[in-house]
Amino acid sequence: MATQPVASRKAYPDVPLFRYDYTDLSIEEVSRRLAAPVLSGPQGLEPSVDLAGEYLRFRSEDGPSVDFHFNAEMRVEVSGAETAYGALTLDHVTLVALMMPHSVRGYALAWDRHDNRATLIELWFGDGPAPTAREVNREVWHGYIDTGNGAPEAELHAPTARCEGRACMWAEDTGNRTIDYYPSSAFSHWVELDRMAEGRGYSAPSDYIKLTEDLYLYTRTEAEFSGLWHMYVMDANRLESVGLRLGFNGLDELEYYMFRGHGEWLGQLARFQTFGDVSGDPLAFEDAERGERRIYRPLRDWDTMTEAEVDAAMAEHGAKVFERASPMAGHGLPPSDGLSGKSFTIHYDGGPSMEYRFTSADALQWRENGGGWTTARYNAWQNMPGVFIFGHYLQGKPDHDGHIVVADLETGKATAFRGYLNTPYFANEAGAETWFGKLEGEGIPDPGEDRHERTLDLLGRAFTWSYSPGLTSMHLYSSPNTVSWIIFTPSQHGGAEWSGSGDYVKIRDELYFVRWQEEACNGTLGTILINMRTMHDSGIGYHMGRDGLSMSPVGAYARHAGRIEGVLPYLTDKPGGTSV
Amino acid sequence: MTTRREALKLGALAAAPVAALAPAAALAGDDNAARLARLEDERAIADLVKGFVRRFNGSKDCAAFVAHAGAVRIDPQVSAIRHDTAHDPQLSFAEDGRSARWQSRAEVDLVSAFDGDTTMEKMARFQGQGSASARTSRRLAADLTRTNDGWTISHVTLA
Repeated sequence: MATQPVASRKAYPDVPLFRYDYTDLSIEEVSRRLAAPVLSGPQGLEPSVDLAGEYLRFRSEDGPSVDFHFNAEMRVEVSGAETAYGALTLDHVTLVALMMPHSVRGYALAWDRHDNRATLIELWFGDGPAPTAREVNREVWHGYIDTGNGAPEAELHAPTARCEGRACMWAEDTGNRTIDYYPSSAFSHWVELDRMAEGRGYSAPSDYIKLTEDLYLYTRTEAEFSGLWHMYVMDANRLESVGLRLGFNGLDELEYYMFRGHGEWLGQLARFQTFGDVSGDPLAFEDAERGERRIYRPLRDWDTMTEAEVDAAMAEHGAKVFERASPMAGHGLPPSDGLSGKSFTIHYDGGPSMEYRFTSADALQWRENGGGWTTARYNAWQNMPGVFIFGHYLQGKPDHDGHIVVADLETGKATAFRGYLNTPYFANEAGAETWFGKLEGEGIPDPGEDRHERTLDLLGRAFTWSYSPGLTSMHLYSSPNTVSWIIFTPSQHGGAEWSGSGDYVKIRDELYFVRWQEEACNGTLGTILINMRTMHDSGIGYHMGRDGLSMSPVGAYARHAGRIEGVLPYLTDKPGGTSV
Repeated sequence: MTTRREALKLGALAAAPVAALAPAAALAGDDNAARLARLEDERAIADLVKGFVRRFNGSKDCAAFVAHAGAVRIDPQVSAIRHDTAHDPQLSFAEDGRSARWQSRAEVDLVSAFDGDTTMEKMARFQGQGSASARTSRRLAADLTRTNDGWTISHVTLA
């Protein structure tokens, strides 16, 4: 296995976040790093709202009762202790943030001054449920500020699906800009435009809370990465926000600041809940402990293997190539026998020449650069006339290569995604390369120098996929090198979301060859050929596990969920915005 | 003496009439005894299929209804079979009367267990979704064989 590169220590790494080795800070270290900054309150460029003289008694049905007694000089008494606070107002909602002195706990309070409805978010480090001390825990309580008249008549703030599908670019007064996608009601996806050089998107568990018809509260916990907590109250009409960022960056520096943001509307995707269903928090579960929620932690749950373990598993189980039906292809096209009897060579630019004889509908012979012939099992699908996607395993390759090829017999162009194991990070994690080439064979035209090309046609676009009854997802093509996927709940809310490196190749008009790698996740290389005219795809998954390597079909019905067109100006030329 | 209609009601799946497609030779000469035998066969087969479906929907142990272990070729995702009353079953007999073929429409409940190692399945499990169910229309086709003990299912599929 190749030597793992050592990433330089940076507040915002120049490697993908899932490759960065965040320090496992102890709770003592967290406490030490919090001690002094807490006493001066959250930093910020905009002067804080002075709440001196206010006495806010937060009350909720099931949550805590917390009294905030605001004094002069930006001090507040809470639970018998005095600390510093910050406050920013967005229209009629004031966001208050504070950390308790000599502790690792704090609060964020969104207070609607019009009707005294309020949402209190408890914040703490350590003591779970987050698995590391550096990851911020939060618990959300909806209630009101008690003025002696009891609870307000209006419905309290509540989780909502009303934000689902939208995307905005937010520019903080700090100068930091992010593209925030809200394709789920429980997760979100963001792209750092300034803090990180690479235009890659990441996914995180999120809260979406409706305060008013205009105002919504959003949070994300950058779990599995830094553990930073980012939140803001946003005005969906005016595209203004006030927010708080809390946690430790890649240099373990505390970020504890409030900001005002200005947004740019980038577009929106369709929602798929039943008409009238705007309920939120679709992944909630009963009897959750304080702060507990469903946080997808793919790396922690993934069974990683060493190169020796991969070799042993391959020796014992070998490669299973299209051996059985897959739930990922229940709605897929049947394999095609259209290549049977054909033979051709693919000359990859800067890569090998792969010669093929297709001896039957599921058997081929291949040889590389004129070497010896090897027989292999394959499957092929023709999901646009004249265009085939086929895949096979290359027995004998040290990194257990699998080739997934799109061959256009009418243009003579071919593109392959080469999947391989033994990445520098995990031996059973699939790496991938994209090879462009041309076909040579009887009746196949010579494309000359023309090749398929990478494309931005799919950038910002989303498709839902129905693989089998009940097994569905949505793809969000969020950056030029990121594919994100969202799992629907039974109520068709967007639920869990994750993402990985992606690459996009245009084969023909409305026909695209896409791959994604589930790095530091499930290790799979997913490949699909998307036909936007039939709204059907055909593809191949390449996966290594304890029971060997598998190449299995992927096929699903598509629905077009829309396109966030506004991202193009921000991501088209983003450094690193091409495939990796 | 029961009428043909009544006989079928006794045994037909969900009381649906069976359209019996008998070879002309089998009933030549308007032989009442042969006709009665045929009606009894139809009822026995309908009872057999009905019993098979009931058992499939219950314990799934259908051994008593089939000729051999490999007779049942039904997708493991199928959890329940319901006769589609909008369509009459079709029953045809071989010339020699020793075998027959049953075809009917059925509404089928499919349960997909998300127990695989694909990322979609893992994430569905993470969300608390261990399986999904769906209902679809399928054609129930059964090949039947007459034995010394009566009729048995030699092959049954849902397609």
